[in-house]
Amino acid sequence: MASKGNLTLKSCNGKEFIVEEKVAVMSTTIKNMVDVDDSFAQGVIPIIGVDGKILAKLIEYCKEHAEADEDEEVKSEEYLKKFDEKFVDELNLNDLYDLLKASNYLEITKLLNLLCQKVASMIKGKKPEEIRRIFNIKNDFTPEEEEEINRQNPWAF
Amino acid sequence: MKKTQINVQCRISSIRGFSFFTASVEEFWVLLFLNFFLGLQDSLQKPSSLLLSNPPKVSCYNEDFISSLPDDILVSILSRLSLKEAGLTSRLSRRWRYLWTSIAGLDFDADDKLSEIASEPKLKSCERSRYINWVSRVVRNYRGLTLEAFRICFDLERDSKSAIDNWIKFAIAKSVQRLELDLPPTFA
Repeated sequence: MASKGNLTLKSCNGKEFIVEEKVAVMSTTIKNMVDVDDSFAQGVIPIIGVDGKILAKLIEYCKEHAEADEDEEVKSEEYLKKFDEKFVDELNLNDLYDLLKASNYLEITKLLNLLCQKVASMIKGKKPEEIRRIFNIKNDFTPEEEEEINRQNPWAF
Repeated sequence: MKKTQINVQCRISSIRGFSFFTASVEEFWVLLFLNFFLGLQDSLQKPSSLLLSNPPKVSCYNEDFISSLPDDILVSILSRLSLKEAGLTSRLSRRWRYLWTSIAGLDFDADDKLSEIASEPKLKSCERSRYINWVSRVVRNYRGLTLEAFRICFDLERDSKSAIDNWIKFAIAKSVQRLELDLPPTFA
């Protein structure tokens, strides 16, 4: 059991993580649970649909940001920016998707924004064929549909 | 160019987390299930994002996981691109075709056209009507419920007033938070 001020989070594959409350409540979903009833703080909080590997990444991110929110001197804005860059650069595509889903479910807004920005930067300035190749998107248009889309382009000047 | 800027502030209330109002430990599992189930219901309305409720754990790069992300995440990604870049993704696949029509902000930026006109003024009237058609077409296609930002920036004249009025009505109907009209001094 976690000591006072700490929470125990359990991944869907049974891995338990003891984290400081200030780190865990970076997630609005967890914060809502803890705010509503103190007894959550004593028990184990199951994090549905998030495995141990992804939960560890989430905690790594939240830990850095919670500490920076508490003391800007120790972790400056510049430090956090570098941490964020490194954090997203080291992710493979699968981790990126899993983290996107998990941070959306757990409502970790800062991280969700960071990950969306990362994917946007992977799309930016690329042609549709290149984007399809990067993300393994299958072109399921019929040739007729494709012709129609290319002709209409309602978004283009 | 004289800048006429109107800021409209409004708040969008969040409906997330509503099921945690009066939870006790006993109710926790029920609520967690409900919260999860509601998420699943969302996904059921969008069949291609069903994977959300059951994340795939296979380490394999051959599958199109990005298209299985829920609409709100994909739209949030597209909202970080220019209108043109977001629109271009409509060519990727059926899943992506209409996502761009819900992006958070509409910035009708045409700086490159404005520089072209500056060097060749006889293009002005033709490009002006193309700009108006462009904005009106996007506005007609837009499917988002609310708008964070709406920006018009072009060398428009008073005879375009009724089109501009319609755009402003559209933006206000979408509870726009930031409305920017960047029009030439001759317009006033």
